[in-house]
Amino acid sequence: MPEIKVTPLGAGQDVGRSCILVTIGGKNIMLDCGMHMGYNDERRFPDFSYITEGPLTDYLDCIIISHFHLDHCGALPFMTEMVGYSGPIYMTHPTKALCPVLLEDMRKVAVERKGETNFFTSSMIKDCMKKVITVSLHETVQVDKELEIKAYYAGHVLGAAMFHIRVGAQSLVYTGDYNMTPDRHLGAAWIDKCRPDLLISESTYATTIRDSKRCRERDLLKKVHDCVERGGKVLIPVFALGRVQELCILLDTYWDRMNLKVPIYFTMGLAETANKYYRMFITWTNQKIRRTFVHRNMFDFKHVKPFDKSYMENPGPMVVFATPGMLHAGLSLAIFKKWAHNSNNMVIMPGYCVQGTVGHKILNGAKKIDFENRTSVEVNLSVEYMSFSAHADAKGIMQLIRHCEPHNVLLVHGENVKMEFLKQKIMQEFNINCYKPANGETALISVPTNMEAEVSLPLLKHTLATPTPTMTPPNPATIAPTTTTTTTTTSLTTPNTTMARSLTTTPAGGHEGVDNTHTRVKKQKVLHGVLIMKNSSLRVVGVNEAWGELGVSPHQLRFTERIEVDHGGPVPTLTSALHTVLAGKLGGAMVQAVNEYQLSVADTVCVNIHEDDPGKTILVSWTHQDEALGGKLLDIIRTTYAK
Amino acid sequence: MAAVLKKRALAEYCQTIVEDAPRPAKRLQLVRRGRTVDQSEFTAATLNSDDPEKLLPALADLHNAIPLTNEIQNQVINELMRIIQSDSQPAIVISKTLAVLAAIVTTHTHAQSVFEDVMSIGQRSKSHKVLAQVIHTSCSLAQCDPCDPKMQDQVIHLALSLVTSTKFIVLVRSLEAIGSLCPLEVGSVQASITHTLLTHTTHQDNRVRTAAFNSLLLIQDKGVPIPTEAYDSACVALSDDYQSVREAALLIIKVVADTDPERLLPIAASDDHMRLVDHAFSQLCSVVHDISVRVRTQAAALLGTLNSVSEKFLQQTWDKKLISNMRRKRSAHERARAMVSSGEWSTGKRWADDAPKEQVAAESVSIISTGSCGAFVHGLEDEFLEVRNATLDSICALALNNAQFANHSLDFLVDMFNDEIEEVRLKAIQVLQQVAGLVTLRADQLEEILHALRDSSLDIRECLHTFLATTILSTISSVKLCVNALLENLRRYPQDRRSIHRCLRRVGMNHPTLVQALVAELLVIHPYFDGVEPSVQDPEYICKLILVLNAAVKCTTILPLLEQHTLRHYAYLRDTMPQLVPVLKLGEEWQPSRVLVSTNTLQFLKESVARVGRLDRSSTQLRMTVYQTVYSDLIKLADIDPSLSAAAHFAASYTECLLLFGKILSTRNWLTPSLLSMQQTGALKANVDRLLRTTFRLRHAFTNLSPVEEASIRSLRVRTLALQLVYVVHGSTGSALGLCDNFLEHTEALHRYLTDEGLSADSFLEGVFDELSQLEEPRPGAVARILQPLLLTHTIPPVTPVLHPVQVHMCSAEIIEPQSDSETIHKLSAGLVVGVPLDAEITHIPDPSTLRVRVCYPDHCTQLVVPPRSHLRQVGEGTYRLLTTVLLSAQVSWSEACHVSISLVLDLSDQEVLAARRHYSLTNKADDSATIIQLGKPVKVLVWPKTVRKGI
Repeated sequence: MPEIKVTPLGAGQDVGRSCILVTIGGKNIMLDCGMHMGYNDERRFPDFSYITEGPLTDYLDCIIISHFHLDHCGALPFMTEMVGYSGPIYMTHPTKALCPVLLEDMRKVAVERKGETNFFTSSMIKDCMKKVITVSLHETVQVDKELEIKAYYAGHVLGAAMFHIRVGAQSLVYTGDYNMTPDRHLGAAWIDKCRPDLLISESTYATTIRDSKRCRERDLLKKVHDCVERGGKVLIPVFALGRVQELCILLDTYWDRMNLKVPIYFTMGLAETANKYYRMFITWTNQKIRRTFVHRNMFDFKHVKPFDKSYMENPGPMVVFATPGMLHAGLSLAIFKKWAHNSNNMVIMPGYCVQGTVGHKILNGAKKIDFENRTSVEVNLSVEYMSFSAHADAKGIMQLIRHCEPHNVLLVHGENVKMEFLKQKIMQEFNINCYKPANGETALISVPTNMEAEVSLPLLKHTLATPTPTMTPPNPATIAPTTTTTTTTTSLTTPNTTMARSLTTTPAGGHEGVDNTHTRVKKQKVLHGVLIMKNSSLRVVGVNEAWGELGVSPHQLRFTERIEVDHGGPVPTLTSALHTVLAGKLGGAMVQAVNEYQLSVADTVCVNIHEDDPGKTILVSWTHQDEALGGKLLDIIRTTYAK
Repeated sequence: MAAVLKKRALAEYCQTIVEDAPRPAKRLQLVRRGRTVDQSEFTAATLNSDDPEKLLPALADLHNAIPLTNEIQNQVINELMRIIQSDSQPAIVISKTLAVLAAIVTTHTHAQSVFEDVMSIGQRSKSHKVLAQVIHTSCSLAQCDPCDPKMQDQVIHLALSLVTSTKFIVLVRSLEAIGSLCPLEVGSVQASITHTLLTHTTHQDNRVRTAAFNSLLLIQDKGVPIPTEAYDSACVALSDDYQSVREAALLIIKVVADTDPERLLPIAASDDHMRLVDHAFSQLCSVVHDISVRVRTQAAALLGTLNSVSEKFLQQTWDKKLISNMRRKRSAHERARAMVSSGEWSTGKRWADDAPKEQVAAESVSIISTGSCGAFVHGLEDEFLEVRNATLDSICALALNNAQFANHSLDFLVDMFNDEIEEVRLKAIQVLQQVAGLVTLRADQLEEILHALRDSSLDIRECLHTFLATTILSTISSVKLCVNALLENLRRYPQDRRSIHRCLRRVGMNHPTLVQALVAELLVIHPYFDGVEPSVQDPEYICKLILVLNAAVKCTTILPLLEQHTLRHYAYLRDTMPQLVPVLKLGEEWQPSRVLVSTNTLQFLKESVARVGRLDRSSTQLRMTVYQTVYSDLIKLADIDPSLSAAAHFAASYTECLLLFGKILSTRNWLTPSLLSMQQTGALKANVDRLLRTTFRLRHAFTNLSPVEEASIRSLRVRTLALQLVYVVHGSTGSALGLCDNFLEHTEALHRYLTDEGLSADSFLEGVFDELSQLEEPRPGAVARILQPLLLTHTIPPVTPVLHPVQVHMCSAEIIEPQSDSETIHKLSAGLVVGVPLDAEITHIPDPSTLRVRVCYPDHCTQLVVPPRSHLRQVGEGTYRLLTTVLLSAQVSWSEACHVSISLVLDLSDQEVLAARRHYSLTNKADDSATIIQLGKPVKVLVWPKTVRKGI
């Protein structure tokens, strides 16, 4: 039985970095190539030496990057340029655009601030990006003869995609990170009923079911509005990509709606570069932005203006987006220090804060924050927390599984305990297997073998055209065994060719492929043909066709039985008597009188009546296919006319 | 420098000019689309060909040319029959011919003649395409008016015999045919049809499945009961791979649930039963999670159409258990509710105030929603606005039947105010407005709703005002909150004044006792100290007064609380805005005097009109004086009594016409202008113009008149035109051809009208009709010669007494914004435009498409602007509200701000007096007053175009 092998090099029962090695149908694919943000040594990159002894290019058939977050693409330049890989890399257009921006930013931080050596350079990033092949949504890309990939929309961040990977009859879907609920700038993930053998899904929020987003947004907007109304200043510490754009859109449209004139400021830099790309990839955004962009591109913010440090001192209300997001350094901290004492002001933490940062302290209600240089700040401003997470929750994951109907599920990118819960749920609800390998552990997923056989068109047409003998739609379970008993009558062996007379059931219509065990059972039909296995290809052809092709002269097997009958009258009377008897037993349509001495039953069995000396002889002759009918006929005649 | 020069020199020397051959002029290529044959041009001859390549386009043209005229039709049918009977034609031609045939033949007689032939093709043809088309065509032939049961039987038999076909198109057509032809009476045919349809709902081809479901729907529509198994197979089909099948199955589920809601269905794996309608509801709910937007939208829309769903299932639709890391979590709605009900306070300072509480057992959590769980929650969170809108519609429909459900839905509806798409926000508010009567608001919910009053969209605010006007608030603090929010709304958006007034009036009426508790606070009344008397110009104070005074009607204990000056203000408001301030039971001194006088306006109107009527034989001088007085009396009356305003205006205008006629006809030598002095000529011309305008206005601005009144106006108009004709023929040198045509047109129209209504013409008209009928060629001079004596001899019949004065409608408009006394100056750079928002209410407009905004600049140039259709919204019967922006511009700068007057007019130039206009355009070009009717007074705005600053 063939297997799909999945080995997470990252993201196996953890959320650190995503890098999954998959072997499917003899092809080796790497899904995502992320780095771990928590480490500063070589542990941050996946262990590429694990993959193979020799060069990576020979072993891996392709790399697929799902989206531009560094924990999904951070190790890519390292792998391609420093470890050495020159095979194809696939990603979507926005990912290709934004990926180098983030990589460059990270490189700057690592090399210029932390002073690391042995890190990839700017030119390496550029060289790496040259190897990237872009894919569009729903475009099927043929990687090589057998391997094809197709991208689906995943929400999460701009350009995030899920990938459907197919090798021959085997297929898998890798989701990357995805979001099943739409947000202010992106739509929801969507996939069709592709019924893959395996679904590799993230499971960050495996044990969470979230409330409606609208309610939380409304709450936030109202608080911000009230704050600026009473003349307060609002600080929103953010990281440069993803959530900022969403928050900006949220506030910008709200400002528009409410006719507010209070300025919103936005620190320049990375986020500004990113905005440029956001403006370009309108097709990847949600319905609202797509509908209105002709009129006005939503990322051309009307009310959001660039920030200057001197604005900090300005009187009057304002809203400021400042980096970094956890208030641990930089501009956001400086602004915080300035504004914290005034109870009119407000700070909104839009995401998770690591322990030890100022953000974490104030979220826990600290009234006074001490800094290293012996200064301290009274925290009088109001602190709001609002989490904007772009991962699917448990309901969303289940929904995706329901939509694409996989045969197996494999969970990655989540905590072990949470995965366990979801795994149980999936196995229970969908009655399918679910796996959750740890890093370095290989999961073997066995997939059913499907033998593809080519059926000759005339045979198929002929079979479809002839109505099924039974009146009700035949139940395959009952028909199949009875017919298979009659199959192995003759077998003929020629060199290099095995020919076996067989009966195969095909799903009528045949457009679904031969695999019909898991799909809807439709009306089935019995097909009578010859299976020819030749040069590792399977073909089903009609009997006559096979004879012609193999150069075998047909032989017919006939059984003939003589029954001596005691009958006085002339032959025609016996014939007509026999006719009525048989018609009564078998049904009028089956029996036909050919001439005075001959009857034919169901066009194939012939019954001849001879005038013999003492009495008469009935001769019944049938081919071996009509064994059952012939036997029955014989019985009838014997019981009626037995001596 | 030298280097530069050198470089330049070199550059010049090095320059080589290659002269291109003169480019050939680019040829303009115009792509002309092939002319489609219209019915008059189509000739049956084009079909007379045996070449398929020619036949096919001819057939396509024919298809476009349908419907055909009768004589062509017979010809064409014969040709088509010839084509289908020939065996040599390819299948495509035959099937196209059949398709055309089905479209042409609509009567039973024709259908009969071709039916047999069509059916016979079915037997001959081998092509499945032809076969399919045969069924289709014969089916539509059999349905021709009147139906022929024999033909229908034949088609049904043919179709039933073909359902064994392997070709999907044949199958689909057969199923469609038996669906649309299924007989109503119970019998073997019907049984076999339903059976066939049912078995094909599980056919291998999705198109066949869809057709089977659609046909089932069709026969259900006709009243044939569909088998119970159809419901089961529809339920199965909800998980079909193809969306068209799912869509069709959804509809089946809906109709079955409608027809047989109480049937009990066994629940799998238990002995219990559930009602079919509940089962159907939960099935539809599960489809809300579907993969396809179209199916989701349909499912969401159908949810609202099921009426008798059990309470239990309805409540579940709002259900969504939240967990966070396996701990139960309360939703924001639950938290808000708990805060109000238990008096628990959130510190607002702590992070994770909404921290998850108890641990949830893994087994008890169901992540996959079953039944109707959370369907609406999901529908409202959907990615596509179509689904969200459909969900809102369904919620509205269900909430109107079920108060508890309405209350549940409240939180979610309020959440939708924050939707990103305005359409959805508006719909959410509209739904809220509709269920307003059924819900009671909690204080926190009210606060959320009131927040939306800050929205800049006028529609949303006005919808909210209506909502607040209908809803019932439970506590004093809610009313206070509501009033404060409305006052803030007024400060922020002064243009909402009228809507807020109406809203506060209803709020006051609905909550008299609650308002009473707030009176002192609102009006700043102190038990010991006298406060400052507020100004009646203060818009907020007016609002408060409206609230309090309306509450005082039901709760008379408010009255003693009011101070003297408040009561004085009451009298003032009662005068200025009587529809907003009710009559209070106060002492005589506070009542405005007018209320006490019994008005005899109606009688006065009638007397005035009668007075004019009595004047028949009096002297000209006396008549003129009386007309003048009656005219001015009626104009005053129109001001005094709004209910009779239209009728009074009508009568006044009529009297004015009489007056003008008198004046013109009494002018000596009016037909020989050369004898008149300059002054007289001017006055005469002015009078004629005015007469024309007034009759024009009478003719078009008044609606809902009785036929007699209508006739008298029209004859007055004809008489005026006659006068004009005579005047022009005698007085000026230009051609009067246009005028004459116009007059004749009107006269003929009037003649038709009179005969249609069975009314008799007056003596003048009779004379005109008589004389005109004898005239051989109506040339202006000749017509004028006839008219002249008639005009002088026949006096105008006096005003017909207005039969139902209250019913007469006059088209009028009131410009609310911009206000006339506004001091704001609209500045602009000369050559550019400035937008002035215009808000106006137009009542009794006969045809909204004739409405124009007339902008009149100080240099007397006028523009008629057609307001966009979408800016004109209907608010009531014949009442429209125009919300638009008028663009003003000037090419040169002005030295100071000047008034530009904006008014609303009816522009009837394309309906009437085209001929007259032709004449007028020759005489005075700029004057458009002949074809427009002013509605209401113009509003003047100050506009100041400034010079464009150079160098920007």
